[in-house]
Amino acid sequence: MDLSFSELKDLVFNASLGSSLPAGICEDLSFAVTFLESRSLPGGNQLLNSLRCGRHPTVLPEKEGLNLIFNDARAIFEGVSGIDFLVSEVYESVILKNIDSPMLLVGLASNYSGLSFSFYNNETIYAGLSNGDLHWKNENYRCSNDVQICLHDSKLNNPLSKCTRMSLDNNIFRELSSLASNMLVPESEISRATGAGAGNIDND
Amino acid sequence: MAVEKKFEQCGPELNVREPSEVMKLERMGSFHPSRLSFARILIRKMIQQKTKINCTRWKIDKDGFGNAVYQLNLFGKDLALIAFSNHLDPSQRTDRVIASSWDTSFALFDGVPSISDIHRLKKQLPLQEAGRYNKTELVLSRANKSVRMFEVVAQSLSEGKQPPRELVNEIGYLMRTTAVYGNGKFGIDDRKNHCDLSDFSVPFQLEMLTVYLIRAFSLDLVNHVAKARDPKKYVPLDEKIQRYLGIGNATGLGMAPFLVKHPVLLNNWFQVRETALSRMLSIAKLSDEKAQRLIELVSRVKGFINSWKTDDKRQKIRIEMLKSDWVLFSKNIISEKLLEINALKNIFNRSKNYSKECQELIVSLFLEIGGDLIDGLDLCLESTKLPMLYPRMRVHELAYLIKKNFFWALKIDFSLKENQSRFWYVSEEKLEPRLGNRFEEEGQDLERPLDIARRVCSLNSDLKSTNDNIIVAEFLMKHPEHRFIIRRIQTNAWAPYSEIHDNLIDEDCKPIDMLRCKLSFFGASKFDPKSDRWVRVNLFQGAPLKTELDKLKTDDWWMPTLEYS
Repeated sequence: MDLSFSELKDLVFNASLGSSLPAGICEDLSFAVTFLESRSLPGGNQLLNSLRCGRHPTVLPEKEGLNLIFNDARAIFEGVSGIDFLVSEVYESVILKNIDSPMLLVGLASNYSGLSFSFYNNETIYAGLSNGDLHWKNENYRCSNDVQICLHDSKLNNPLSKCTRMSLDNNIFRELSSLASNMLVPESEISRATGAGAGNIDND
Repeated sequence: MAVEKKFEQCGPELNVREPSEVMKLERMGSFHPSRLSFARILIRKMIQQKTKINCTRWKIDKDGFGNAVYQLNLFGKDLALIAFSNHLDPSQRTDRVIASSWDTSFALFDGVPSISDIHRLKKQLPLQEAGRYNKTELVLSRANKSVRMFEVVAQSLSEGKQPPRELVNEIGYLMRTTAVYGNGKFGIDDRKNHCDLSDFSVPFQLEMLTVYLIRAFSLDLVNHVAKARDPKKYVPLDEKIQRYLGIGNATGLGMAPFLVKHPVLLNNWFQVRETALSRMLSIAKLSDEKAQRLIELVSRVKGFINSWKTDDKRQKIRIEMLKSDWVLFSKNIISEKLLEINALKNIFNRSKNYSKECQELIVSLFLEIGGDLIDGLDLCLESTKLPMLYPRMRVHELAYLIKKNFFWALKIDFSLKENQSRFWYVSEEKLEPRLGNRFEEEGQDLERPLDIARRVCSLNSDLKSTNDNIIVAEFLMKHPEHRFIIRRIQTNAWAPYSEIHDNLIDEDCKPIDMLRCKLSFFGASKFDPKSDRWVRVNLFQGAPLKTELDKLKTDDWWMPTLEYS
């Protein structure tokens, strides 16, 4: 499915709202997924995987020196919090153990434009963000693993090119659309007659 | 042209009206178009560029059905309006978004369309939202003929007569657009892909261009149909009347959520307007030329107000009050007074006794003579920075921001039913944005996040039971539901006009005020409310014709009156 940037952004926002996530998280996810997809990375698929994981309130982290450690982390909860803490410069690094989507974390970090991030899988770098560019080392990427994020420039120098159109897998599009439709209020006579403030026919 | 530093980088200017004064719905709902409205900016730049618009395809039959292409080059970019006109059964004609067929449909095309592009769009465009589009399409739109107007004009011209003045004055357009879609909707290209050219970075320029070209098409179409009826008796529509005819627009609730969903953009629009006003009020002594111009415009506005008709009770009262206020105001607009020191500032300070309709009309009036002093501000209208969270902020700092900037929200008691009786939602019926009654209708669990004031109060309450020395990141870990509103509150600290200072879920909230505000920034006039959430307006009324753009030196079509008898 060929989509525009803003079309995908709105779709992800609505799909996230339709998954009962808080509106602020939905905003972050909409930009995160679009950022990844515009670099030809499967952000939509990663989001759906993340949404399929069981829900739980954010598990409070442990402090270990200048590191903050989240156990059994999920990108859309502990991942978001971990990045917030990192940006606050209270800790040198954040470790997210057994994270469900290390890729989505990269998209979420991209919302803090102007900052540089480095992402490690078992001390091997798999992604870096700097100046709005995403540097990606696919050979080091693991779908589920312990991830460490640091707030510094990775010095990688091979940014992924940015597309102006999004090419989303049809099944992912359908699934996101289905979640987004959870937010639509079913038709009713009263809604049709009064909700928009006009009569059914409005001519002159 | 002076390139202004973006507000997002330099913060608010001094001596502007406070957000607490300007961001109230009642005032926003009193705005009028100005020379910094998007339609005005577009026409001004098209005149500067000496833009030529050519009709390169006209395959329209004697009844006015078929297709046409208008081609132009603007800011070095080839663009085309592709227009389709179809027969529409009168029973199918409605301005509601829920309609499924229209008299005409349009696309603004990036480049020069090929025959295969036209054939592809011939199938897709009449479907509008149900169609699928490519990145070569930049804007989609559709329009219905004014049932009262189009036929009378066509018939009059075919009989060798000009249409009746009363009708032209009362309606003011041949067609009404019922939606104009841009920025990536339904697969069309994203706005950001066309903003590298700085003149397109002004908001809604591509959409305004589309509407302007639709107006040109509507004028050509009515002449064509009239001529086909009786080529011997036919007379072309008088150019003065053509100029007076704009494009109607029927606008519903969809515009209201836009203002809430784009807080930085809202801020920039207001900050440009308020900065422009502040610059005008800072003029120590008006030139003779500007003073004379002001006197002429005051007289023109009087004619414009007299031609503003509506059946809406609230708006009718407001227009009547405006008429009498304008008479009083006009008495002070004489050369002698205008040439005094700080004349505009003094006049403006005295205008606070008038209705808000009148006060805001005076703002637009003053901007009209601003010229080079304010025109460069147009490049600050767009938004280049997104709202961003500052997780390092301490909770007590956040609480301070709420107290300082959101005091208006804290005054609202949300335990009272009337203060939260509305909810905003999107209907599954063509995704139409709607407003419901929380206590009488289904769907409040699917509410959209437009309840800004209520969210501020809820956050404020949770902050009270929190250690105020922790950082926002820690607070949000326990309260992710407040992420949305905290980001807005923090954004408001550097974008002071980013929030509407009213409760948008209040029983008495009037969405029409939000619609009018946004439409005034577009350049619309003749606001004719059909309910508290639905309004008809006129765009490009008085604008130069497409054949005049390369001949004019200035744009002078604010508040036009019909010069025809």
